[in-house]
Amino acid sequence: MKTEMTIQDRSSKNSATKGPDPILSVRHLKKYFPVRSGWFTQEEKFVHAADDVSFDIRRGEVLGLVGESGCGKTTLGRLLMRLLEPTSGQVLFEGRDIIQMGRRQLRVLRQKIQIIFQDPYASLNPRMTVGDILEEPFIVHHLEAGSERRSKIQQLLATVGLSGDAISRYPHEFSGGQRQRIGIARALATHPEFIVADEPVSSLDVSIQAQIINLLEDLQEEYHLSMLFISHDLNIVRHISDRVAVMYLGRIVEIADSRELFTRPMHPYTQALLSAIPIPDPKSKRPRILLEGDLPSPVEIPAHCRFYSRCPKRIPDCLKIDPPLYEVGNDHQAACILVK
Amino acid sequence: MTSVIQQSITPASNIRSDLILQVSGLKTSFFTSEGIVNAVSGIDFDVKRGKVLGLVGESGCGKTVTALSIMRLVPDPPGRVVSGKVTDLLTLTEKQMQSIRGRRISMIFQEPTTSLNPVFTAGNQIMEMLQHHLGMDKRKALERSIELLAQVGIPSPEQRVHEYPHQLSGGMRQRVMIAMAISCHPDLVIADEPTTALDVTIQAQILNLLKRLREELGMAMILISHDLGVIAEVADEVAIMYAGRIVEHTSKEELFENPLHPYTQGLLASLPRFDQTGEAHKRRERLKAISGTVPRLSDLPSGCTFHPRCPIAVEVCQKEEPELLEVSPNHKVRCWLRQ
Repeated sequence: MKTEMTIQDRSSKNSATKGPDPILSVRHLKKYFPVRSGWFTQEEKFVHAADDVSFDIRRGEVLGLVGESGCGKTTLGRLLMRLLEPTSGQVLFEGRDIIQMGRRQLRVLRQKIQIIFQDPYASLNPRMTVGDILEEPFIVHHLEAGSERRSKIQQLLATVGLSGDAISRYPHEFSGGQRQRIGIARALATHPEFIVADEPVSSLDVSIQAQIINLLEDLQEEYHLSMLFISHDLNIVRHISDRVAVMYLGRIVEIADSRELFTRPMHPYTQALLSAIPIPDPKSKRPRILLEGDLPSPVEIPAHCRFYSRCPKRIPDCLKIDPPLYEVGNDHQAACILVK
Repeated sequence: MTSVIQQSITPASNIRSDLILQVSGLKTSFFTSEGIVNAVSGIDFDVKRGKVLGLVGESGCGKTVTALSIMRLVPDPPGRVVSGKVTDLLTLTEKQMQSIRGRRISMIFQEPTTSLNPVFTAGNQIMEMLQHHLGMDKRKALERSIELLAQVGIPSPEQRVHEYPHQLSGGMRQRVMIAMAISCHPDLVIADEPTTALDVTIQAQILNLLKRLREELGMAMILISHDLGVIAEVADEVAIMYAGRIVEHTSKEELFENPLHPYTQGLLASLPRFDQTGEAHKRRERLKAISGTVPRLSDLPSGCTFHPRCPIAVEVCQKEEPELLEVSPNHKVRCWLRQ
């Protein structure tokens, strides 16, 4: 265990020194949720939602985060916002650890980091008008007041492609795509530098998804935003991301430049995941790697490689180590002893 | 096993030929306090023996209501099949219909979690079908249930057959649903978004299973999905639906190679695309979105329902609705500009 930690330390330091200026650095982040296993048992068990996660997000880049449901994507996104308290670890935003921040510091910080939620139906208060919803960040953060505030709100609506009369209407009057635009406008109100977008298009129809993705890309460029883009839709992640991290059972198992990851996946899980994407082209003849079984329970995490039970390439040595992220190429890391 | 097959090759006289199901002029409406909503407004299609028809469209386009209309499961009130024919299913008595459902036509729902009964074991639910439709006794039904679970790829089926839905994972629940659907060897299976609630690696497993079963059992399928990737993989023919109508209907190959309706073209163009090598991967290449939003069914635009979003609409599109016409062999389109 000790030797593994040092290997991991080294590899995370490597990634920290690489590339230009990270806006956000995550180090050994852990989040364990306690679960009660039975009424009479004393033994405490934990869901390992984030289990020693380290990575950087560089200024101005979009980092895609993919993985199957229950792998810890959403938990990780919320930990970065400190909407959840981690069990241990660091989240450094522009070099300062947000986990150690007090309430006042955190409030200032939250102007700079914002989140866009998955479900535009559940994340807007149905009893507030769009104007009220968009004014809230200004009130909370004591930003522009009076007529200046009103014109700012009008600007925000225009930025996300909604008409000005939206201001006095209620969320239920809008379609899913329009609601997501409202959610994006709210996130932009405080001029953030970093945005967590948690499955921002997965509840939208196909023809609307493209509109929202285009909007996010335009805004990202215009405001020079850094973004963590969480999604289970690999095609969309591939389209929007500069780099992509693949998560499995609370751990990042591969991280690389987007094109590199999709054309040269190294981890057997990534390979299987990519091969499983249905391609909208009947002529595409691509070999598919079918994984056996289901995602194992995040409670009983094995001490060895966590993908072992489903891995088509497993060897006996995989049972001896919980592999850290190894450098496997230019700016490309994978947690598999076979590609070390 | 043999008895099941024998029973299914003595079909009811009406479904003798290659056509398993004929839907014509089907119209289903919901009579709500806010007015009449025409969820399905006059659709026609055939399902051929052993073939998979993909039904594609966005939420609210009438895919699911079409399936429910075929099964005569539209909640009434408020909904009702107003006109049209589904072979002769619409004229049957409820009692006769019960012997069709599950036996000749079965359904796989999107959400395996909510469509299985939580207080019965997986085995109970499959056995019920076998006992009711095929008159098996309990012991035989249990044996057959175990065989079916094995056939849909559930490991240690002798044990799983006695488990409750909550003890199974999402993928396994969907396998149980599929086992139920094929248990009486139906002529037609309607699968409504069968993989939408599943993760991509599990989705791949289930799609493989459906393809395998279709080959083994030779059953026809209506596959409802919004995912063109899933359709490209499983379907033989595709019908694209928009606002309660079929706007394009052709073979899968033709659809992906030569889409004619502007809506179909828009759907295909809005997907991120990459070639095999990934070289075409250019970030910042904008996706081609379809402008506007899906219209409300209670407040449909005049003329062609797609005209407000259509990039090539002309004057006639606003005034009159085009018909679904065959523009080349086996390729039907509902568009003024393609006729």
